[in-house]
Amino acid sequence: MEGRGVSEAIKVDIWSDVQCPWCYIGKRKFEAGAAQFGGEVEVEYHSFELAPDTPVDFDGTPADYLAQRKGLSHDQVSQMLDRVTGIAASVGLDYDYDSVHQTNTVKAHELLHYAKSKGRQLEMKERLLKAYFVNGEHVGRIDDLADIAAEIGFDRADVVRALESNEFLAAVKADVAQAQEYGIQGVPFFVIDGKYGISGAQEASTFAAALQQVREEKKAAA
Amino acid sequence: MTDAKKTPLTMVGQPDAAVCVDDTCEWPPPAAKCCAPRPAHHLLLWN
Repeated sequence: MEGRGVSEAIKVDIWSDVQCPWCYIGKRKFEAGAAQFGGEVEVEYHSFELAPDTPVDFDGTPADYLAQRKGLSHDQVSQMLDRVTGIAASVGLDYDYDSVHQTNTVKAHELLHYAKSKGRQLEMKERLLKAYFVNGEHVGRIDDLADIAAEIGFDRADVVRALESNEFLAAVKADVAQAQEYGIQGVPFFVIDGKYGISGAQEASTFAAALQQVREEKKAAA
Repeated sequence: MTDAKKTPLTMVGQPDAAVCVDDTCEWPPPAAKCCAPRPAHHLLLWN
């Protein structure tokens, strides 16, 4: 699916946050749709911060966080998390909310831009989503992010340098600004060939149909 | 990336698919909420 610089490839820009459960589910559904489509697809992820005012070291569980922020009972929160965990399981994702570290994701987004600068953004995106939802790893602290990056082969010291210096913060904010220009208010959000918008964790067939539509339009225009 | 201001998107797919509008990530999302402006504190921090 991944491919850069391929003239026939259809570009798909995806706005997403590392701590968005529907983004990981939507990623799997999109991947299934792209596989159904069968053609060349070039994917680029963009930053979207769902809760930019969350402290890096939030003291509590996601259930505590939601209960505090939304005034929900722990039973209500538990039902919400059970529901999304079940849907994640249906696409092969083993969410473990008991281990999730609620945090601020701006540094994770900076790391995604760092990885993009090295041509490995998709690998990093998958690793960070897995870190947050499956592995119970912290994705807000620079040291933890650097450990994750080093694990998949990045230069740990260079990652720390980039994150400490905010080298990619402007790129994160540019993505957020672009989302606002598009009117994007929720994630995941997919922009296909700069023309078609798909909001949410839609079915794989929806993505496949949109990609096919673009392919046919390109053929007709050729 | 296409200039969003010059190229409005044509939306496709189901309008009620699961999205995270904020950190609650409710599903199915209340339609009104999905269309509502983001809270002011988000906008301030983003600008």
